[in-house]
Amino acid sequence: MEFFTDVFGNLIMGFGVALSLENLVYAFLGCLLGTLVGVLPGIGPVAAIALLLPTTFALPPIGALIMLAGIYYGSQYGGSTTSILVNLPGESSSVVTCLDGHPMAKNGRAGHALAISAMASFFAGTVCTLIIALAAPPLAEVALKFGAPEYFSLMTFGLIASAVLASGSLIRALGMILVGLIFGIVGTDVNSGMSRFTFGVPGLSDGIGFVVIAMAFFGLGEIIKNLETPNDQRQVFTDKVSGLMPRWVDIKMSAGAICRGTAIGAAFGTLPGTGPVVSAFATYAIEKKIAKDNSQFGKGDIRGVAGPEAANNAAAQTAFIPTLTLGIPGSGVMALMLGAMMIQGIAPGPQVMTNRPDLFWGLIASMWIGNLMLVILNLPLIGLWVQLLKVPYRMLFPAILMFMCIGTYSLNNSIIDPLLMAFFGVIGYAFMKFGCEPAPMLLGFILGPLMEENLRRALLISRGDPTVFFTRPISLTFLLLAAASLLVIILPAVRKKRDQAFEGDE
Amino acid sequence: MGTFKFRSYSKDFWAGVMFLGLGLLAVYIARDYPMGRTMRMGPGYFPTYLGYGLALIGAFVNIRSFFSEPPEEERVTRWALVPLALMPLSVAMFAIVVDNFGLVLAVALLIGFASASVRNFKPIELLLMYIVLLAIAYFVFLRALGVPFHPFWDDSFGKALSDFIGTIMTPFRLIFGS
Repeated sequence: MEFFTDVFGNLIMGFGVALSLENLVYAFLGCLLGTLVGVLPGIGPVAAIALLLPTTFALPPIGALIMLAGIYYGSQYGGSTTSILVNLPGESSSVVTCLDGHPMAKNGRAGHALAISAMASFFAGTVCTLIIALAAPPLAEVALKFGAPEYFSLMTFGLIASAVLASGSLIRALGMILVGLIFGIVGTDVNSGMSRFTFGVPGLSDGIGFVVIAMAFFGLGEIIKNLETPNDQRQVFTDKVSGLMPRWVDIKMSAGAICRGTAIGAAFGTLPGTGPVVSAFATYAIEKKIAKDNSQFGKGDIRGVAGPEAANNAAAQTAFIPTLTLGIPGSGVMALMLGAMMIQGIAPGPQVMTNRPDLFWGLIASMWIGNLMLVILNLPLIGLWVQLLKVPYRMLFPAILMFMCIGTYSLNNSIIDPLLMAFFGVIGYAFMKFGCEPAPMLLGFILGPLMEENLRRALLISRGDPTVFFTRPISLTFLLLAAASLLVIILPAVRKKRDQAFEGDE
Repeated sequence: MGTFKFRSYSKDFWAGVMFLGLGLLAVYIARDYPMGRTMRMGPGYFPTYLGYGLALIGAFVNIRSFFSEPPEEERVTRWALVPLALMPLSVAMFAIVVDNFGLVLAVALLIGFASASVRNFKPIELLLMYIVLLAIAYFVFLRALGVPFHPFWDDSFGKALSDFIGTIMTPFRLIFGS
């Protein structure tokens, strides 16, 4: 009981922080910018956050994090709008929404699809905000007892899980993790003061900036890839969107799907990897299987919109749990959030909750406020987003490029960063051509220095005995989980299922 | 299982080459860093093992490509060579120009180089893009966010322009105060 009153009191304090005029403005700006970027196909949440990150440097830490979080879930909302109206997913996590959302729009029910997707997302967001508030304190308590071996094993598990859950070849995803870890080592070694992999370039002695890497792989590489098909013909849904108020029949029909989607998304979101994508696919598959009459799936069934939308939004929210309590990011976006915290001078980890309760609970409260804003903001602005979708890609990419150039330059006011971005952009594009996903690389890149440090400490306290990772129970559990997730994927039966789930995810 | 064959069109083949190359490069460079012992890891310890690991995965992926015929989605698709050349070039151009000749020229060159990779631009679209992006670069980044760029190659020119803009804005200042 005491626990609940604590959480309740903390949430009220959080709302006190988040409801200040300043922070409301940051949340609003973040949601607006995020939706804007999410609506546009061809630029995902990672690139969006990397792009806008430099503009938050001047803000206070709490304001910066609130704005970045707003950008993140704003882009999730915006992505589904594009899916429904254009049949082109704005984000990878809204691929599933296309399946039934766009047929609904074609049948003249675009308004209903948009309304139910907003409702489902808001419901999932509300539930998951509560889940974070309840789950985070006990988890952080446990995490405070972690030593170096536990952290090392946890990160190993996180990295391997992200490779397992990523789409495409598992072994290549593992390779990309190692590539990221190696990129992460570039710079001055904190223990010996030695320059590693700097090639004598002075700008590299502080390491490669994670904003540079994120922009190179998710921004520049992505632009080159999108330009492979220069004449993009978008079928924008041009009829007037009507019926934006959800109907009672629709709500009754999709209530079950929304609840199941929320539960699945909340569970998947805490796992490292592409949580929102996987949970949306899983929910769609389950809804299709348990529906009494599933003949309309793929032709405009409202449950096929509501379930996955709830799932991807739920997963997007609960992804904050490992990031905030353990300091271990589960996805590219979370890696950037973590990086943003470090830039603001906050060491991520379980101690954030006790050292900076205003920041922690303020951020959580702002998540709920942001979700509410998005519902209020999105539906009336649909007309604006439709107009925006008519802007052809050839006019968008020079703008993105300019933002990236100015953004990377302003990191250190040096031309090294844009040049590095150009270099890694080419490498990123090549990796994409060879079927290597960039997301596991970014995770490895962020975790690289942390992993090396924890490995060093673990081996120091064990006097060089590597069995320390297997004799400590928590550490052993993580390693067994990592091994189990690898085994599961190698078994052929499961593998087939996984390939089915990713069908059409390109 | 296909026959043993050299398949340069397979994604696995090239992914393997990239991993192998990067891994071996890491090991090669890290040989100059002290390895230390397991108990006291030196700066060379972690990168060396990572390099070996990556090279191993690379070799596996590469060799795998010799043994089975890749399905359609496992083949390397055509490269977008023009954007691949022009995008990094335009970024590099921006970086070099911005320090010496100011933000406005750098952005203009960036847009010029980047847009050259798409053929079907209409003149009006290009013009619109120049106006909008230059305005954003100047007013949002330089003035509002205060990114420390020189606007122009010559500061006296920049000052003249900003005085000019200040004069134009005077009526607005009078109306809105400040």
